[in-house]
Amino acid sequence: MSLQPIRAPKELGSVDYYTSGHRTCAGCGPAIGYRLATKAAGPKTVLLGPTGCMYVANGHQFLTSPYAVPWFHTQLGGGGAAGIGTAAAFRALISKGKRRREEVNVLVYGGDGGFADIGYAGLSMALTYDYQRLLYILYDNESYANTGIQASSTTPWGATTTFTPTGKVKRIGNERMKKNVALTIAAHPGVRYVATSALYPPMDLANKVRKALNSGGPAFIQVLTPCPKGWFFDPKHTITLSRLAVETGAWALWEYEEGTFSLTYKPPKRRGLRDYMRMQGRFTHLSDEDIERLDRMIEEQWKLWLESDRQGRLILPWTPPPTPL
Amino acid sequence: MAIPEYERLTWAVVHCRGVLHTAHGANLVRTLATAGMVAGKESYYYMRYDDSPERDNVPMIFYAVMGDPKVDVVLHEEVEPVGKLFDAVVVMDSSLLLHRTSQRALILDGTKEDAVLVVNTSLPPERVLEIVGERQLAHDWRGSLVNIRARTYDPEIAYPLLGALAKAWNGIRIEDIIGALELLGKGEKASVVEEAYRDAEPIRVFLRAGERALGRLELPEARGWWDLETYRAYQAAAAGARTYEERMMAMPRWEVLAPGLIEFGPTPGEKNIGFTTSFERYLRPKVDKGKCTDCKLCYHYCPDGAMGFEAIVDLNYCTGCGICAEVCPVKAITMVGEWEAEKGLREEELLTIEEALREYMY
Repeated sequence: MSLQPIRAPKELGSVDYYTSGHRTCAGCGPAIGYRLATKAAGPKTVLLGPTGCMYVANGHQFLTSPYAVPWFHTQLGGGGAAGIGTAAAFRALISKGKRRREEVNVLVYGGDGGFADIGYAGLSMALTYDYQRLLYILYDNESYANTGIQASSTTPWGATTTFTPTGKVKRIGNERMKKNVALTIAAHPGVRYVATSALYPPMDLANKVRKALNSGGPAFIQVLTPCPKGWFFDPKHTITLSRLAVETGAWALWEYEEGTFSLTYKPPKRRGLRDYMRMQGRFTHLSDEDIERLDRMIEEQWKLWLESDRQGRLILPWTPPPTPL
Repeated sequence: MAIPEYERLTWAVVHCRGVLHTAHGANLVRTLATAGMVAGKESYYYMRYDDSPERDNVPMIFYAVMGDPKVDVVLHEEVEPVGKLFDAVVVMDSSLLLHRTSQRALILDGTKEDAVLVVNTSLPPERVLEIVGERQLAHDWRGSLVNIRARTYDPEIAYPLLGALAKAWNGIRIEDIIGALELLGKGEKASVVEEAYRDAEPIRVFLRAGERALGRLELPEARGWWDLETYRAYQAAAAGARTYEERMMAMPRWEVLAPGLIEFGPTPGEKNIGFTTSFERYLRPKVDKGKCTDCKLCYHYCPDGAMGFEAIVDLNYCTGCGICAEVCPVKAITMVGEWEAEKGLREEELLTIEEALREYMY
């Protein structure tokens, strides 16, 4: 695997390892992320994943599947354990001489249910091991989209879900703040590479996957993938929303490599959060003041992100929640 | 498996698209089942995801079942009915007629020979019949067809469709539907139903299936465990299946998969030939090669891998989401309607996702 960063989309190649023929929604963001990540990882990869859209919608189509590399569907809480188990099996077989010595990537691609809520303990445990080429990718569509949009711990403040509907009694949908899973993973001393990513800039995810797999230890990437069904938008806007999330600063792209923090995308001039929020049906009930308050909160957070970037050290970008107490 | 006693029940089936029509389909079958109750029958309605969980644009099915209380039939909960059962079929989006749906394959699969077909469309009946004869026929069909422009009557398309259905189908009476609307607190919709009932013009049809009639599905013989060739033959059979039953039959037998139900996937560079996804599409991209700068953004941003490396669209897999047209920096890709691209016809009754979201108040 080349260590050169991919600059143009043309360089990523034309062979898919997560191919056509799956029943995801039209305009599925996680599917785009899966295609880019598997393409960057290459043919010597084992794909694993805890239950979620990417396994329920993709596997077992009349006993067919779109995966062109070996894959395994784990229990909802079992993504972390399955990852270290597979990596341990490869290590044992190779060290006993029962398998050719080669570098095999183990890529676990799980949702926010599989990695941020239910499978979080397993993920946390797995990242204390020292297996190489073991990469956990959390595709964050900010809800349990597979079962009909229930709130998870990564659902942002204000979003309407079936667990947190907006109404006359509780005007604001989800009153909990979005958990930044990547920050908590950065607190694991054994993990070599932690990053957040999005579908925009185009080759950001592919480059981070390559970097993570070559980091020499377990790695973790949280990628924000818009979900047309859960965020209530026209499927054609999947990439537009990724771009807006990054350009408005709602989602910060950074990487943390053995103690060194850096932002990988700094919006030259941060766009107002309104552009991003007003495109999504799940935020329709929020008033302009609510969005203004969130915007100010993100402004404060970005001061801390930029300070972290300047120092090369991680400062928790904590701000008071926008819910009036 | 076909259950013979289901033939003693009255079945109506609604074909629609996930998220776009979920509320409309539910309204329709709920009203229909309530009308059955008003008429003194025992009735039940349920949603059978044509494709497991409901997803944007994916074909979805609702059933309404009615039976005489004296007839003792056990209806297994949320069953996938198999056999020649359905008396009435409602299609909420006419672009569903252009492709095989994901699970039931043909719209007229499972219908009786004299079934009533109600289509929400602005197209003339002869063009609809043409496409039904060409793509949706599993057996001879000598029933009736009603084309109705449901959205022009009422944004809630369930009610005009109910009026048209009552006119063409003797399984339910208009008075019962109006009674049901009152029971459900939707009395104000009675005028819409009556208007559609008055205007609907059912036509008698006779279409012969001919060569497309269902024959025996040719299935390969498993020669042993882990037999890749047989597995591929099963996949090809599944892709060509015309009914739900055939789809199920074309699942590879366990000997081919054993041990541990391990599937043979595609090899790198291939696609999943056993499952195509054109049924999700009501729009399709048109690429203007003259403008294309070969930046590959549409290729990498296609969730279904339908856009080729050389910007050639694989229509077996394209779901018509429109991301390619949106990300193209030089606007070389435009989205055109499916009817327009295939038959040069403009469908005005198409409910786009933008409008659907507006109806959900977003």
